[in-house]
Amino acid sequence: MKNKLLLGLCLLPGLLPANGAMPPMISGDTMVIRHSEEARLRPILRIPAKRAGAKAVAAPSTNLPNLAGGLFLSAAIVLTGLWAVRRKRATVPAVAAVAAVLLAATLSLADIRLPTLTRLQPETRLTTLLSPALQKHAQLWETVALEISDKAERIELLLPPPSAK
Amino acid sequence: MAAGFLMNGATLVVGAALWTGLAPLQASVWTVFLFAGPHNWMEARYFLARMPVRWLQSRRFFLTAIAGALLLGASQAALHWAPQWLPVWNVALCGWAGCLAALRARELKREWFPALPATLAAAAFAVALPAMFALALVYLHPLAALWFLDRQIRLSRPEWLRHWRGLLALVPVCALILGLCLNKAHLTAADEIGFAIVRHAGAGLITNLSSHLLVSLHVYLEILHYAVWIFALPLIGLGAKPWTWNTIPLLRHRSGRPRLVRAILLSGAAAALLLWGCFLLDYAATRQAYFMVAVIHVLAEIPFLIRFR
Repeated sequence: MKNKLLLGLCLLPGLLPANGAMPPMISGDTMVIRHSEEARLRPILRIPAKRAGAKAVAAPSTNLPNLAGGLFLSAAIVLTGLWAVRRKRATVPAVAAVAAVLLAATLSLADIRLPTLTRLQPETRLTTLLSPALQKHAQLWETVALEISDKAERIELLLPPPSAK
Repeated sequence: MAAGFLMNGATLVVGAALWTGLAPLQASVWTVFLFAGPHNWMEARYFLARMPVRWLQSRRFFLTAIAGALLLGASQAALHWAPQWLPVWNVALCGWAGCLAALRARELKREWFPALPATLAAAAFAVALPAMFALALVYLHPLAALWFLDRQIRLSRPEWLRHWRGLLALVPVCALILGLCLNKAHLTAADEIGFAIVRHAGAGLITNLSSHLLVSLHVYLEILHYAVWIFALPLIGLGAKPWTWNTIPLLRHRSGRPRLVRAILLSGAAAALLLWGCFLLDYAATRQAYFMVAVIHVLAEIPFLIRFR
């Protein structure tokens, strides 16, 4: 599937060069929307670096926040356990309740991708972006990976492949 | 008096839900325009009235509170240009609040250790899901005003407590009704202001709920928050008219700081007037600038929330 839409591109302030001439905030441009294996996990909005008026930078590691979160949560669990042991009055239900809350928090952190994957089913939300009627009457919100690329020649919105259901 | 409080309160709680359900964008524009400045001034007035003249053993607590609020406030504004530092800022906020909780527990000769795992658990959430943590602050902050009012009623008008708690129970009922009625409706933001309001309510982050519901819920909580700070707390908690300053201990006591208190209140009033003027000149830009610095009043609430538990 290949659709071309005229996009009034409002560039994010963070993409603007810190000095020098500022590119126009709104300019007519062509955006290609297509399915791609690259977008299996989440849609990707790819913008050529020259169009964004910025240099491409390596994407930051996405593991670091999860790693730090896991470390903090582990430390919280260990310290709660220490506290419960030190405080000899700690009752089994109280310790169990605290453990359940922390376990639920851990699971919710570990599970953060599941709802994202469900949301990004190609035929549930993003393909409806192409419906002209919807464009007139509503706005849609979706999380995309924003990619500033030195290699890309055109603005592209890559959608998960239909087989990624 | 209690019956009047109950009637006015119920009218506000239900009326605000109706207004924000029917016209959320307009409600947001008008409430921020009318009440953002005055509610900040009232908060400053309330906190100055509750601030002890001599800090004594609370000195370390207040110094940490003031230094942390100023540093975090300034660095939060800088996040506008460097948003990648949001997780670090979130963790710093958790650390600061945890520190204050531990200091307060030590002051009261209570166990401070539980503050440590609680801080670490909050920091885990803050660093793993930084945008969601920031959004949680946006929604939890208005509820802090209800907590302050609850504490104040318990202190000054305990006979109202039963009525107040009944009124409080209406809030989740109204929120639930909003949720049931609006979860299929999406908002169309026709301009920059509408887009900013929808984004501020978290419509870009929470895609399972409709943008109409999110904006309505957010504005609803904001209206309650403004009403508490501008009307309810001055009525119950100040013991004087807000513009009568000689009841403020920091101002009338000889060990107080009368010049500083007057300077804060006068400059706050001037800032509120200036905010109105700027809103009239350019609403969108002023709103954006206001929310960049408004975090300072959220931060100022945290030490008092910990102190007046």
